[in-house]
Amino acid sequence: MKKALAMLLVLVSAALAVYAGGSEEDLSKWPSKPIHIINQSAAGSGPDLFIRQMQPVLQKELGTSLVLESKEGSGGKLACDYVWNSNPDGYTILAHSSPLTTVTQISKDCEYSIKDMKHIASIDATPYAVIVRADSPIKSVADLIEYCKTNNASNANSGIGGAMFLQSRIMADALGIDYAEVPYNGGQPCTLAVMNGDVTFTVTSFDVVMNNNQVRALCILADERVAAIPDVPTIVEEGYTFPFLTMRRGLLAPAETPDEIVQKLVDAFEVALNDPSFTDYAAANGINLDLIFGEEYQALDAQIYDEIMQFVDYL
Amino acid sequence: MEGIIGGLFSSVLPVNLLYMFIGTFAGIIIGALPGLGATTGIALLIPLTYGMEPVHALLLAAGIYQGAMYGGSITSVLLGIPGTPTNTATCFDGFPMSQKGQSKEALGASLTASAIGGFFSCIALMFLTPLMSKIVLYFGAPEQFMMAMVGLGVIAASSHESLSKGLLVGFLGLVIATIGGDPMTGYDRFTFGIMYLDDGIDFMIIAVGIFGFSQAIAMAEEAQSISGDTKLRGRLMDGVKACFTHWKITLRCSFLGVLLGVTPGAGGSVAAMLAYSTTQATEKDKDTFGTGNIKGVIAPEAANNATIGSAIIPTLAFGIPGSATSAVLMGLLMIHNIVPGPRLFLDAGSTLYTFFWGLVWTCFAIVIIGLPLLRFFAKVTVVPYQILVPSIVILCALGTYSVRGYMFDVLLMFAFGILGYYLKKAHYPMVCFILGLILGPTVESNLWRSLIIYGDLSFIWTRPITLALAILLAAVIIIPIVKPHFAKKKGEEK
Repeated sequence: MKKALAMLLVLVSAALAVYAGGSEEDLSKWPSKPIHIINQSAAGSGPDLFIRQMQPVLQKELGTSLVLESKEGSGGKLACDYVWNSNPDGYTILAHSSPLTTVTQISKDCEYSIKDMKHIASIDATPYAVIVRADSPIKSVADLIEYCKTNNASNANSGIGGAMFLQSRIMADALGIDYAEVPYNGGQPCTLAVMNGDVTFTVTSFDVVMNNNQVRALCILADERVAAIPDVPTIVEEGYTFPFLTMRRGLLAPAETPDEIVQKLVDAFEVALNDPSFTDYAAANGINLDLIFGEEYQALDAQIYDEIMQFVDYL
Repeated sequence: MEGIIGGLFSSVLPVNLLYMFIGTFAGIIIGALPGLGATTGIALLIPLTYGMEPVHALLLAAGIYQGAMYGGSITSVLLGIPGTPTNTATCFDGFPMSQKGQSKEALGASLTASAIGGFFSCIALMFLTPLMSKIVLYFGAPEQFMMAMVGLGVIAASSHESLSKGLLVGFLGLVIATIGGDPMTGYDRFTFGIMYLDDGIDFMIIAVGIFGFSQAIAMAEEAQSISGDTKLRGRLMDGVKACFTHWKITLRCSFLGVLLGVTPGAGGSVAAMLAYSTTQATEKDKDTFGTGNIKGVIAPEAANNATIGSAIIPTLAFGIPGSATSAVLMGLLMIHNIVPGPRLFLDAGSTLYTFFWGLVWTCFAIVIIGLPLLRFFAKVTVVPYQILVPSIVILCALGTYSVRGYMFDVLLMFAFGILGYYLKKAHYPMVCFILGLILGPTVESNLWRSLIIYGDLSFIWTRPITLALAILLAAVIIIPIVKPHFAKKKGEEK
């Protein structure tokens, strides 16, 4: 009897713990409770840090506290689904990382589109660059093409069907090169793979060369050079042009979110992103700011979506 | 050298020491709560540090890091729930000690071992960063594959009771590790269309289920408090002394931790597991491991804290974090405009050395703060089961929920708890299960990568580090099988 009771205790407390998980509050005057920002990557990753840096100013502007949550998984799809399905009351917003979320949406045949979500603010535009080891004999795009013809070249990507993988394939087609595709778990391991000599090159966000003297950028995959590393040419200057995927971090709200709420969020982010506490941080860390708000951002994101859609066969 | 001395003086300023102690205290509490660890702790700290001197922010972070890495072992020892993934191995012997009423001794040992391991690691960080950062450059996919294979080879030595049982659960661990997207092709494996399984099952969910929830079931079944009828005996100081009596283990596991902390593909959990299993394999009283051997507490706790300093090395040298925690730490540095990389020591020398010394002092801080706290905590083991069992279940649920924020994970944790309950009842060595589980993905993905890059298995003998590790692997497998025969012969001769 004693045992049965004790077992019941386990079951009841387990059930209570599960039940305590859900429960939503009614929407009244906005914002009357904390705003949750859902991040598809771990605490300490780029978008997470951006928001933490802005947090004090944002909280002052919005008059409520921010809760940063990480919902990792499925290439950003889980976080996106969570926000898409949440109450469109402005209390749950998504830290969006393009093209990652966009590429995943397309490759995983998502039933909704990121285009339909309410766009709040775009923070940065970080172009990709071709990265090789510092002591690599490859000094230019021409060298890379030559090397790939005569050697067993290899390329590190952050996962098959991911953004780095897609950008590499688009580039390989344009340059007419061939190499072994080696997938790693995420972007940073790809830089490590270049450093320890596993692979010949990787295509990753340019800022990895900013504080690492073991790797070198061959060229930037963009139309214009970036201010943080002005000596590195663009691939356009080297005579090649193809669609460039730019890493762009921003914030989105569920599709049905009322416009007044979206506008309040836009205003708050506009102040926070232009505050010296954020701009100084961005300057010190070589972040390529590209502030676009509201519908303008939505239009741009939709254009990026359609552009990636052309390459659906690669995914 | 000037920087080191300058940092030493600045680190002992009373205000700096105060920040360190606050951080350490917070860290111990954060670590002790399952699901929250150093990573979350430092991430939560970031927005609080605006307007704060960078030095103060870093010292708070140093305290949280050291404190959380240690604090997780409190829950491991007292409740059998790993407070953080790195403290999983501490459950094996720490919890059985609590069941025998020796919780104070176990807590004293885990505290001292953590402090010693952490101390060596911080010294390595301060003096050996240029040298140790080179390890990163020599450890490619083939080396990481071979290293993880050596770890799997240890299963042979760890399943002393029954090799077949060890291999069976080791294999089960490997199978569970394959759940999720295939690391090479991206295709989903064993996810049954459930999106929550796309990235596999987080280690913490399995560990909390297998160790924590299964324990709650067992406790409810026995219907008694953790230490049962046995009285609380032993003192914290007995545990402290044990770390010095077994100084060889403490030192060896500290060095293992320092080395694995900087090695790509390893980290705190792997270091603690390998420290535990190698100690078990090499000690004479190996049969008592898993039933409350204090050496089984010292080994993993020395090793996991020993990864703290060395995991920061690649972060500072290349801006590439060696662990999730050092990634957040790097974020904290960047927010205070201290940019990692080769120029770091020139630009931010004095702040940085103060931080390094801060990490050293936090090793002492965990002892100063820990000892009085533990006297109080140790009493948890005599709390009546009617109160403790529901508390453990809720703690398990909260811990798993806080990992990613999905109820699915909590249900999964319950399922693993039930699995763990039956596996333990049938005396399957859980060490082997955990080894398979944490090393499986490293073995698989790095083998694939090596094969794609080199085309065949030639990388095993053409690369010196890989070859050395392959020889070590052969030794690890053959010695436990051959040794009993030699021992027998010796016995006959006598």
